[in-house]
Amino acid sequence: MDTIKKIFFLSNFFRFIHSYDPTSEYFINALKFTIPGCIGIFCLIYFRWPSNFLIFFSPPIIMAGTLFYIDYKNKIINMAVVSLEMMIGQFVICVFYKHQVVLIILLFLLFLVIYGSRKYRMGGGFAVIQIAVCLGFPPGWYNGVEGCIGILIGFIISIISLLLFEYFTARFRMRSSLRDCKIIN
Amino acid sequence: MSYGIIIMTDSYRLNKVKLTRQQAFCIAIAFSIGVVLNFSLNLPHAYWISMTIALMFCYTGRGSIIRRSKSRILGTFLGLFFAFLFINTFMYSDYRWAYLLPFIWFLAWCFYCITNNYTIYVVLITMFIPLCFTISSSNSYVFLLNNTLAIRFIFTLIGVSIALLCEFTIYKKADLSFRYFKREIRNYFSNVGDVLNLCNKSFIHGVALDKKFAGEIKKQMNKIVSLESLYLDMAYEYYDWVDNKPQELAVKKLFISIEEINFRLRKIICILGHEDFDEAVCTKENFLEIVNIITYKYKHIGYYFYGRVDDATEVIDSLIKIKNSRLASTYLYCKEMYILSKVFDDYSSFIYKTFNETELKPVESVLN
Repeated sequence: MDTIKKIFFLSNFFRFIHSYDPTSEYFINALKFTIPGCIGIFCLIYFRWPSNFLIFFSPPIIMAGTLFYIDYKNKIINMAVVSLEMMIGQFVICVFYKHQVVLIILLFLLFLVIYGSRKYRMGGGFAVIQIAVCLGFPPGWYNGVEGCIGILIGFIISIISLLLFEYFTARFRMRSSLRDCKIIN
Repeated sequence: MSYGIIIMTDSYRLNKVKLTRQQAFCIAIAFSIGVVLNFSLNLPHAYWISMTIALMFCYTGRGSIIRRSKSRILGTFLGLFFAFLFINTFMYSDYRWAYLLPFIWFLAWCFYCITNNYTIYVVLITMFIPLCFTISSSNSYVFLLNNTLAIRFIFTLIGVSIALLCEFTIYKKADLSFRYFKREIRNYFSNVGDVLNLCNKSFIHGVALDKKFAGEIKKQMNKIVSLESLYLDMAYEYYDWVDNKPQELAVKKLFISIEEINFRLRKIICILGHEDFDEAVCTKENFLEIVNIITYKYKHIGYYFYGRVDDATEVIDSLIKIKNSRLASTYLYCKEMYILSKVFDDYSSFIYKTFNETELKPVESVLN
């Protein structure tokens, strides 16, 4: 096959095809970032929940944290940790919005914990983005709890999506990766 | 700006926990400044400052942060422009244009994952947040193009400045990409050691390769990608990078060694699918002892960076010289292990000689 490729000057063409191979990692990752968000939007519209946009905003962030881990156990733990960090951040901001000094101290401590953990800091970095966005939310207990529920639903959507993705795509993704790093032809 | 001679061999001396805490302190301070500004400015989109700081520190490494600063500013500008253009031109006239958003989001992620271009990533994130707000919010008047675009762009500039200021002042040596690079070198070699260990078990004892092996291979690929990315980041940290010849040679040697190691691993994996170990060449125990030493070398590269030398390469070379079994898979396996050991010895002795003036330690015998 290599000889044929050389004869017909097809190697560049094959390289192009391989880099845009839909079984490759990029395609699945793009789906991982899109599908859970879409499910979130569907839930939001279908169940007519109040305007809690965290239901479709949080799943891509929770999913992003899984990219740094290989085994399922760590992926799931990381998703749970990211969701928990997001919930704590959301709740603290909504409740202590009027007590700004207390809020700043609490957030400082929260970030020390998030970035001080060597194992979960990469995923936690994404949670911090969402916590920052929460600063623009309306404050109050009610909004805090509503946000937490939104993140919880987002977490459930993400975990179901992850398991389905891993179940259906693990085999051909592995094959594609092996071919990409030239371990198999 | 010079950090003097950067020593490759100190990868074992890094106090990772301490460095991580120092870095966490730096990020927490930066973010707290962002929150303080958010409250003191009291403007509708002031949270954008804290968000920019969070995004800047999302991936670690100073080189990475410097490299991403320009992309962040450009990406934010383009992202805001596209998002508000989409809202104000298409969605304003017909809300059904919003149905197209997931598809655009998907295509953009595909494009980002293929190109790995950070500017595209920033454009995406920047588009995503205001679009989410627009979809969920009933009072869309807050997203007027001119005001919001200008204010958010200014906040991004402020956020980037705070992140860079903190990065260069608070524990400024805690987050160097070069440190991560050195750590990844050790991790890469350790990972190769794990792969070899599983291969040895499979070849000698006939243990089938399972999901654990697939995981190790996947890890190895990630390490290579990470090393390449950190290598690109390092150029932003050391401005005398090009003039630092020993350093440049060491990195060049590393990538050449990685290429050779990957090629040899591939061949080993191919051999595993054929015959099992043949005891005509060597006893199982002896062979296991030799290959375990090679595995150990890969898993503990730090000792070899400090001048440790063994004779595993010579011992396994003596096995290859047995000519009556040239076609057997055991011979081929020995040959690949010999080359792996030789590549390792060349690299570790090169590093030791380049960065140390003392002689190598006496050779340790692998067979008792």
